[in-house]
Formats: sequence, structure tokens, C-alpha cells
Amino acid sequence: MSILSGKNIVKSYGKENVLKNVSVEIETGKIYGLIGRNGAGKTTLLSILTAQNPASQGEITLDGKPVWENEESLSHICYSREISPVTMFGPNTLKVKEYLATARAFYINWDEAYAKELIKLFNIDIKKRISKLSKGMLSAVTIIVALASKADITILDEPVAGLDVVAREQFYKLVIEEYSETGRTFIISTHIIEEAASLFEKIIIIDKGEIKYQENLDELLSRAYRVSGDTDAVDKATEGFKIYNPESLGRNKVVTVLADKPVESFGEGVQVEPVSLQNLFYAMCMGERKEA
Amino acid sequence: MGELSKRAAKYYFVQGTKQALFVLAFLAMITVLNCLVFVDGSVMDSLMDNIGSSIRYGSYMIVLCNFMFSVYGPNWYDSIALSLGCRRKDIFIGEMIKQVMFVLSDFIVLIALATVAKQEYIIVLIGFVVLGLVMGPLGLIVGHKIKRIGRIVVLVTIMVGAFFSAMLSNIIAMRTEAFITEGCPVTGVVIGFIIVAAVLYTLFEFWAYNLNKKSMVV
Repeated sequence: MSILSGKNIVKSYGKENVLKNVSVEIETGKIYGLIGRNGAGKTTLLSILTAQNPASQGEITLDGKPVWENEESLSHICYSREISPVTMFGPNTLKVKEYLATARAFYINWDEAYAKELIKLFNIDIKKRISKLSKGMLSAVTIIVALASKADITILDEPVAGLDVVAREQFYKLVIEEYSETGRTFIISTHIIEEAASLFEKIIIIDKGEIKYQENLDELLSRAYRVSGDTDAVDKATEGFKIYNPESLGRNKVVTVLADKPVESFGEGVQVEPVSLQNLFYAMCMGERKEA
Repeated sequence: MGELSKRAAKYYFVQGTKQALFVLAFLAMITVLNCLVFVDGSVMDSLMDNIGSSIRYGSYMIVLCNFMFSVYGPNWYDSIALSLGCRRKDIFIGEMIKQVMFVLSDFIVLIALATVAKQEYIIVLIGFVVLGLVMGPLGLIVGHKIKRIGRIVVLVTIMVGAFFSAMLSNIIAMRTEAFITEGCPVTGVVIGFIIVAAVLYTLFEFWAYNLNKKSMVV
């Protein structure tokens, strides 16, 4: 098992700290989900881990060897990011086939046959210019590059943006198939959490440039609960726990609880339900209220 | 040389060749148009006369286009290569390969034309090639520096660069031709020019290397 590690990463743009002493460890052979709000630092973190953006401070290694300008490390990584339909000089007049040819030139394990299969599956006209593609088609092209690269560590940054529901399901299916066949590591950054959650083994939650959680998804969800009932009963039951997004409706109250370990019982008088990743993340974004 | 380095070198070699073919195709089109529009006598005679003009235009384009294609690099083609896992060091070397390939390909074709049409442009062409090579890293520096400034500044910079390249090219051409026709010794001038160009080239490449070291995907 290899480890892509980022230690004490700081990234600043002028006086603004986009990443604040972030440490992350990616074990190979797993599917990671990276979630966070807009501007949380997801893309910056991914681009630094893959040496596409220099860190202001910190160390990024793959199996102990630096990733920065290291041919051996870089040959194991593919970071397929959003292609811009516009360049500084005007529309991006590169054709899809030219872009894919460039990807083929650089990715050592590029699978041309698989790429052709995916082009057909997503119904992409490779003679079209990138500037003429819809948002969904641009996403499809980034998915094609990511999957056909056959890189050991494949990173996709919001790959399903703009894709219709059929294409999204196709993508999830492709990732699972590819993972089952090859054991490749995938890191998927997405806002469509509910759909993608079933793929993730591990989850990284980033907020305002800091990693909030980085753990096994099942373990995280095993200690997340939605507790509802009479206000006094809920307050009593959740005393001492980390509470997110409390909502009151008349005499009733609903809170999301994230405990340090699985809770056997919250006592009587309250209803306890499991929480989905999306609802947990939403609750976290709404804010924490710690009970005394 | 590692596998990734070889792939990067091959990619940029192909890019340089494509750019050279683009410019040569454009030149061929202009030559044919000139022949057809300004026919004086037979088409063949017109063609031979127009080859001289084409060689001159081609010389200007070596300088101008190498500058412009290099300006595009940091914000477009190099950025794509970087996003696909290419190392910055390989991009830097690749850009050198691309520029040399572009300049030399055009030079070889133009020299061949000059020989066929019995035009005495060899020294002038060498001057343009040297200038064209110097404009390459200068274009990279401009491309790096104007990344954050915006499109209007880009366009203005390219226009200024184009005007500067054309003006410098014309001065060199006229001065060199004057030396040739007046029978003045050109050796000292040519050697001096090459030395200055080599120094500038080295400085510009060093500057471009330092800018490239910290580049990020656009």
C-alpha cells in the first residue's frame, strides 16, 4: 500500500491563507470523497497534492518521495480537472481529439481502447472544439481523461458538474467497475454528496482551509445521529455531545449529533435516526453548538 | 532521460513542427495569391519574383510568430501539459525544443527557396533566425508576466511585440543588405550581433526558467 501524504500544507495568496496547516494522508486502494463548501480549499488542496500548484509551506510525498518535479511520483498520479472553454486569448479552440492526444502523450499507462469506449458511451464528438462543448460534455471529457489515464491515484474535481442523471449514474458505475478490476485509488471532490456517498470508503471534509474530518465514512456515520422530540427531552438526551444545526418547531426540536464514539442509547423520550453524509455535512455547515 | 521527459520532448517537438507547417502554409498561400494578383508575364516568372518577397515575409514571421507562440505557452499549452502531469523542467526544455524546431524548420525551407530562386538572402536569413530564437524566451517571459493582467494588455503587448519584431527585422535586413551591396565587411557586425543575441538569449532563458519554476495550472 502506498501513501500520498501532505504535511503541514499552507497556501497563501497574498495575505489570504487558503490552506492553513493542512495534513492529509491518502492510502492507495481506496475511494475517497472530498467535500467542502465553495471556497473551502478543495481544488487548491488537490492541485498542491499533485504538484500543479506550489505550496507556500509543507511537504507532499508519495511513499516518502517528494511529488514536486518527481517523474516517478507524477507518473502514478492523474488529476483531471475542469477544462476551461475560455483561455486568456479567447475561446479554447483546441479540439477534443487534440486534448485527448495530449493526455495520451503524457500518461504512460493511457488506455486508448478504453478512451474510445468512453467517448462512445458519453457520446462526445471529438472533432468539436472545447469552446463549443456544453458543461456536461466538458465534465465527460475530464472523466474520460481520468479513467483512461489508468493512473494509480486518480483525482477528479467535481466530475459530475453539468452531467445529467443518466451520465452521472454511468460515471459512478464506471468508477466502481474500474476500482473492482484494478484497485486504483480515486479521490472524488463533489457537491452532489448524496449520490456519490455510496462510493466512498473514506471521507475528507474541508472547511475554510482546514481539514475537519478525515476518516472512514462508515465509522463517521456510525456516530452521527438525528435526535428529535420534545425540546426538553432532546436537550437532556444530547447533553455533553457536539450538536449541529438545532431546529425548533413549537415544542419539538431536532438536532444533529456527532459523538466521539457510537452511542448505545440517548435515553427515552426522543427519536433517534441515522444521518446521511449529506445531511451531516449540511448540519456541520449550519454550525456547531456545544452543550455545556 | 526518463520516460516522462521523453514524452514531453516528443510532444513539444511535434508542436514546433505543427507551428512551422502552419506558418509555411500561410506563406505559401500569400505567395500564390501574390502570383495570381500581380502577374507580370508568365506565372512562373511571377512566381520566381514573388519568392523573394515570400522569403522576406517568412523571415519576419519567424521572429513574430516565435514570440507570439511563446506568449501563448504559459497560459495555454504549457498549462495543459502541466495539468496532465508534465514536470516544469520538462516544459522548459520542451519550449526550447519547440522554438528551435519552429525556427529551424522555417529556416531550412526558406534557405531552400532562396537557393532555388537564387536570392542572396542567406546572411539576412541567419540574422532573422538568431533574432527569432531570442524572441522565443522573451515571449515566455511576457506570457508569464501578463497571466494575471488581462486580455487587453495581452493584445496590446502582442501588438507592441509584433511591431517591435517587424521593425527590428527590417532594420537588420536593410543594414545587412546595405553591407552586402556596398561591399563592406560584415563579419564583425555579424559576429557582434550573434554574441549580443547569445547573451540576450541566455539571460532571457534564465529568467524564463525562474518564472517557470513556480508556475501553476491556469
